[in-house]
Amino acid sequence: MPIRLLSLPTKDFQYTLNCMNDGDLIAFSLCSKHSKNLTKSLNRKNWKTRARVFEDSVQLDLIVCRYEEVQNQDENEIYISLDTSSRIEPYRDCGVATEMNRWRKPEFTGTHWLAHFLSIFNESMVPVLKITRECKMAFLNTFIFPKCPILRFERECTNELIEQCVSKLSAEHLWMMSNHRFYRPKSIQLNLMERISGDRILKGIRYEILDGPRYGFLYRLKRADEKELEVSIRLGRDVISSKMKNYEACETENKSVACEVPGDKIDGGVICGNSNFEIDEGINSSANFAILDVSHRDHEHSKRLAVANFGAKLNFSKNDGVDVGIDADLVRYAYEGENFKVGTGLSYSTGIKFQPESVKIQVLGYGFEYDNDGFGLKIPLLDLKFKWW
Amino acid sequence: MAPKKNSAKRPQPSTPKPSAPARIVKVQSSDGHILQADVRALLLSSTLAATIKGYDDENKPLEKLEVNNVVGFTLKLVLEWCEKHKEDDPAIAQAEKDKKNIFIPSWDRHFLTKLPMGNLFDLITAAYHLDITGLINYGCKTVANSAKGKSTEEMRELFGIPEPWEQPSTSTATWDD
Repeated sequence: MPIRLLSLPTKDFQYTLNCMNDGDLIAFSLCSKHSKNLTKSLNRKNWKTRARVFEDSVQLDLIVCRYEEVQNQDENEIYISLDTSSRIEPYRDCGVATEMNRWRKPEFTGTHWLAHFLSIFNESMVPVLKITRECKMAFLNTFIFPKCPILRFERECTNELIEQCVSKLSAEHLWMMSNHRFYRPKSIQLNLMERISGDRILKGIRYEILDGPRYGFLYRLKRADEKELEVSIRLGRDVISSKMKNYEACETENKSVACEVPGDKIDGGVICGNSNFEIDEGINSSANFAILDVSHRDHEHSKRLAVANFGAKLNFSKNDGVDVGIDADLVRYAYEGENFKVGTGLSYSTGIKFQPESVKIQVLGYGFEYDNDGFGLKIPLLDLKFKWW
Repeated sequence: MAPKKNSAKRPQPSTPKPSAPARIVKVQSSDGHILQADVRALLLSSTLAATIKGYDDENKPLEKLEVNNVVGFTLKLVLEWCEKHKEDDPAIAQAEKDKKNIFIPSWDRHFLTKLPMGNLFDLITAAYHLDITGLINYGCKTVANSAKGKSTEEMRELFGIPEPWEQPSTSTATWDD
């Protein structure tokens, strides 16, 4: 007869889970969605989490606590090798694959595993992502990376590999992609041992040079939605080489919202307005006014309250498609969780959006939307969206 | 650096209590079973200790305690555990409360691990209702130990988790913009 762990008093099953080591807790978290959420609710943190990218796999290292504090060496470290398939090879420090076959999840790809581990240990990001000299771009192109404040390269990495990685991970994926799967730092600082051409790193991206070239360059990147990113590329040989075995090639600035305050963000206010107009390979223009527009966001949820929010947008582009419409929210409160989004109030927004990964049609508050995140329906008083990501 | 060995030790009782003459009372379970127990054993339960204190304060004779949410079989196990630990310093259990690495003495380990999982569940639940910190500590730790090294499938079976995993997700809500 099983022990109905989840029927125990909350305090007791939380204590029971707290008594488990990381390996057992991971196995438990994989039992069901509910058990995953329970594991998350323990708020267990590892002392150190890091990821290293090899030829065709990512090794995720979970280190439970400092060596000085370690109670049981065998349970202090878990190394997990992930690739793009469902193959997972966890092993302990001694190299024995003790966890092999325990966490079988055939439907999980390496990306799913990575997301799962970060999620249950409440990591908002991999603190350090290290690229080894064995890393191949073909693998980077197939593995979706989580956000990381520090990207490091092994000393033996070639300039070509560094350029490709920085270009892909920081500029393209972390910033320029507009599907909201990747985080958006406000700035990226590159401290390089050797001069690398900014043109090559920012290849295919529209930018302007704000400063340089004496100590390096400061670039400003601008997205179609007017959001900006500053990228500073500096030679850091004297500063970096004396301090670190492996130099940092890319580090998001600590002051950026995404890094410094990973848990919370509140913005907006009373009487908000903004507008923009741009003609490039199309037209990008928008204007917006609200008496009150306040949003609060953390890693689990986001909330937004808007009163008398009116706006208009007119975007045509041969690459991005069409997005035109009028926002008319008399009052609107929206809540977005991990798997759904719900909004209520009174909205008569009207518009049409046909973009490569997103379709949205609404007329006087009635409509639907479909994109990579999920599917949603709207009426003037209520809107619901179910997310499958 | 050489790793330190597991240094989790059970706190030692501060001073042995002088043995007092046993004061036996009757305890009635929710299904009507009547058992007998030493009051010192019952004092390990904060819930029963409060009731006993109430009788003592009013100088009322304590003949029978009713435990309405624990059945006879489980109550017998609870009283057996309490009887074994009636000389314990309550500070021991309090000191171990919520600690991850606690040492389970051999008698308790034997007592708890021999129980079928269903009975262990009832025992922990009873300990929760009666607020017996030491029994909760050891019971929960025993459950955690029973999961040691188990696979996901084995754990699902052990803990009676029927819900299969649904759609795999890469969403950690941390990757979003």
